[in-house]
Amino acid sequence: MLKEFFLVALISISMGGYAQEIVLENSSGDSYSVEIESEKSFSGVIESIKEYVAVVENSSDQSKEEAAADSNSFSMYVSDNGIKIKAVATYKGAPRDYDKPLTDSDRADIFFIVTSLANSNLIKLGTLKSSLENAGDRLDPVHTLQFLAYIFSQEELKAAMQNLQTRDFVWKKFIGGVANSLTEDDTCSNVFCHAQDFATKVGVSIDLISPKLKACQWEDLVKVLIKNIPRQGNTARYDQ
Amino acid sequence: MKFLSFLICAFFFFNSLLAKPRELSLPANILAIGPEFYHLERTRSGGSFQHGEIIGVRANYDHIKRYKFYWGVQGLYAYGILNGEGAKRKDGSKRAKLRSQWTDEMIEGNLGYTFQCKNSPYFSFTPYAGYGYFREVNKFISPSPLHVKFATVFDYFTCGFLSSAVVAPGWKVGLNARYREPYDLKCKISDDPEIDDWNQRIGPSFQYRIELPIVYNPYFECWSFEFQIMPFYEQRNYGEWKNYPCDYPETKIEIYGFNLQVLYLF
Repeated sequence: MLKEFFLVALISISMGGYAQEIVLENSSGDSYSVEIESEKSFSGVIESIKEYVAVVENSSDQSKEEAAADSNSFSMYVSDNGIKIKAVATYKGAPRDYDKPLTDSDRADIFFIVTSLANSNLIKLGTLKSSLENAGDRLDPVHTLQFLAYIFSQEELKAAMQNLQTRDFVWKKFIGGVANSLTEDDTCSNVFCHAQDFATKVGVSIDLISPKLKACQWEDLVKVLIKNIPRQGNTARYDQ
Repeated sequence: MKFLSFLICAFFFFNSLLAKPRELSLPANILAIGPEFYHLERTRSGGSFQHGEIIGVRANYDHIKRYKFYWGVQGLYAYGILNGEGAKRKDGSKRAKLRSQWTDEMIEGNLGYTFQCKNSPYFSFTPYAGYGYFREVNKFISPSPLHVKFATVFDYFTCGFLSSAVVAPGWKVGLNARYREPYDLKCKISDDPEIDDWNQRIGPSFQYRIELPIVYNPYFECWSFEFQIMPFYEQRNYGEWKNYPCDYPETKIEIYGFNLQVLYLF
């Protein structure tokens, strides 16, 4: 099972001092202070935060210790707001298993998420928010390429994806989630190695998707799938 | 140009002398009923096209009074036959002939407020908002290749305005406009020999209607009855939506027509 936790670092930089104080705040709202030498390079600062997080979190929670031991990524989102920088650190555990088959529950969750996002109006989506989040959480162990392969093997979901792409607000949320998961999988070198099998499953040429996979262009990858995987049957039957 | 301005001013001046302020003391309630005739053109993105003449009946009840709240309800039932041609065929063969029975049904309620000038031409402006239900049925018959029934059904929010001005004793003209915002649009498909009845989702839609009412009261001293002819233009747009197993193609309906109504004021 993939383990992850987020740590938000609010870095307050003292412009004139020798050392700079960084306040780290985890997802539970607990804060830790750490002193960083002002001469340290940016990558050095990141490394210090990473080490400190591992020590503090490992000492407080056994499961997080295990997660941190398997840690293989540290991503930082920076927004410059005066003298404050906000950073998010993500640690991951074991990689998702591409070969693990989907359960009926996984299929139902995927169907629910995609058809709801594609077809429900915004008011209904508001009422479904918690159900969608729960379904998303249940799908967390599912490999993202498995998730996409199921979508693009089902006619109803293929149609839904075309609608979803036209709904800007919902699309950004959906594709953001898919991209994050693919980034996590890619960090464990767990994406490109499955490209050939994935291409065979969804029925597209490997040449179409491999450039997107190599370049980590996840949104473009999904758009390529939507565009190039044909729907079956006479979809224009009622054009009269 | 000066001469034209002079004519317009002179018209309103003499009109103000002729028109009596009884316009302001009109009864607040108007009951109207009459036939409605229109030419309908239906175009789908795949290339099919249908057109035909529709006849129906429209009835209104309006409570409208100067500087008072306005409320009104209206209903329409209309029926006609459409003819046309199907979508272009990939093999280049002749397009299929289409023929269908068309039905429009609508009921709507509105609430607004009336602003009106005290003096001739008694210009009146009534913005309103409302809610309604619409049902549009297109049932294909021979020689259409696929005998299937499309019933587009939706509730909608509407907003718009009514306006009028007295232009001569006994004559009133106006401009009405309304916008309809349908929600939860569905096209129920039935009678398909190969697929069980099902509901197609429809993409984003908007609809509007512009009316030019011309009202005449032949008995200037008796306000109980008036007669109205109202040319109008209406457009209904339905967006494309991918469905399983079949898609809903983008559909545009344009309507040109007029209605004749007897208005009873009480």
